[in-house]
Amino acid sequence: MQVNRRQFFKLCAGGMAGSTIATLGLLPEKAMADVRSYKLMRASETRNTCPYCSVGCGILMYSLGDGAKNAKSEIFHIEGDPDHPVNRGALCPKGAGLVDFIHSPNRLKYPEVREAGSNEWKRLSWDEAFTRIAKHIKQDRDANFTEKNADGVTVNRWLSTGFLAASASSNEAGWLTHKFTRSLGMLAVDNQARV
Amino acid sequence: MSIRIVPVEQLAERQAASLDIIPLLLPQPATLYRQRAARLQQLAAGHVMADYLQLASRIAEAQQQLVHSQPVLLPLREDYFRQCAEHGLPPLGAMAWQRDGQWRQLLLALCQQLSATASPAVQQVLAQLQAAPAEQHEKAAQALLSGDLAAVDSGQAPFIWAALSVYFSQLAGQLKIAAVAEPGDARHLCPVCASAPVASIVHQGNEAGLRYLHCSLCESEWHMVRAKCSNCEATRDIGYWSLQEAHDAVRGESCGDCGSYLKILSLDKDQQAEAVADDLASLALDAALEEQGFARSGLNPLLFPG
Repeated sequence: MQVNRRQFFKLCAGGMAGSTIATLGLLPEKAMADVRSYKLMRASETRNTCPYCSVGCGILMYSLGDGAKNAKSEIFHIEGDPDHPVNRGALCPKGAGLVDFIHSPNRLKYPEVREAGSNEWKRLSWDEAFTRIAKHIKQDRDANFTEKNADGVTVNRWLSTGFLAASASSNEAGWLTHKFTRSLGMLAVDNQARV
Repeated sequence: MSIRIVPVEQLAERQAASLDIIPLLLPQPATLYRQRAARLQQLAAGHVMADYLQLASRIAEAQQQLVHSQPVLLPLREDYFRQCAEHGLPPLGAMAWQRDGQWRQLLLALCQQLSATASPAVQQVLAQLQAAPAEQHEKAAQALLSGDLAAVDSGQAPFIWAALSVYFSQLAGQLKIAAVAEPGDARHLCPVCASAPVASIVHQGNEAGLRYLHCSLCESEWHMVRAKCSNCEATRDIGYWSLQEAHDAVRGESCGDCGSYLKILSLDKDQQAEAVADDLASLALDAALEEQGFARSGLNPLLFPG
């Protein structure tokens, strides 16, 4: 097994004095000065999974900036990951539009609620949203949880509420989904598997 | 080695589906040096290093003529290749392969061909090479192939390497082998000859979007996943550097973990980009990346460091 990594070189160090180009008498004086006339830019390519459906296509996201804490980096291009075994670089029209989805002004950025009987969306905090959802869950579970069926057999099930999980879920997210739903006795669990 | 060379008859049983990524593209020496020469010529126009790119172009053109005038035949060493396959060794390991004297004839012919149009300084180097005894050529070749670049004069090195490349690329082009991708990531060296790459190339066509590393010696190309350091396989801190647009045809791929970089060429941005030529013509990017503290992990066969 080959364990040695590659050799490192400094080509331009010392004004390239000992390099081939100097030895052969072809080093132009302004070659190194030429560098100063350019602006060096850094971008990143980040691997991720398309969020839309459960096919789970691999994507490469191109962004500008070096990821430093105070610098704002911005995604400027997204394409299918050619190495990904699921899609081998291809994306459906929806996936191909991901970069616009990211920069969309209509993107939902915080929780909102539309009260029963109202036609207006009202912004609320994450804490309020979580509390509200938890209250609804508890209320419904308290009212509809079945401990024993008609024959007196213990079933511990809760049929009146279902759970729809996301499509691009990792194993860990799947484990958490099950832990949460099954421990409440919930039976109807599905994942958003389609676009 | 995670790209494993197997006898060609084993391919059918090992390859799962035709959708698999082709792990290895063997060189086509019948045309590749001419393409390089043409590209170098094209890049030379208006370039700050025009004289040097033109010399490089003449070297590549001379290499192409040698492929046609003095073709190299792959010796029948079936047992050797079988043993290499069994033990996961590269079939033409640059250090292990027993070269015959033909590569030296190629070197002498190359020197002769180039000296007619060369500048006095280049002529002097060529004359030294032509006058040197065979043992000295062998010693220099062994040093270069083993990575001991400091042992060889940087003026002579490109010509010696050019002859070795003409020799190895023709051998590689005739190999009756197949390659299969195996788990594991050790893809930093060429699976055919164990040499360092010149640069990465993101292909078009059948291999659209896939990154291949181009061998500096035998001119094979082998696949490696993108957005990953081609030297140490880290993915944590990979940067893509360019001097003009955010997504230039030639960018530097740097790794914050091992501190190295290798250029990456995107054929979808410039169809005519060629590993050796475009790497050579973008020396300004090397200088800029060295200023950022990175060191080069690829070898350009037409420019050796001092």
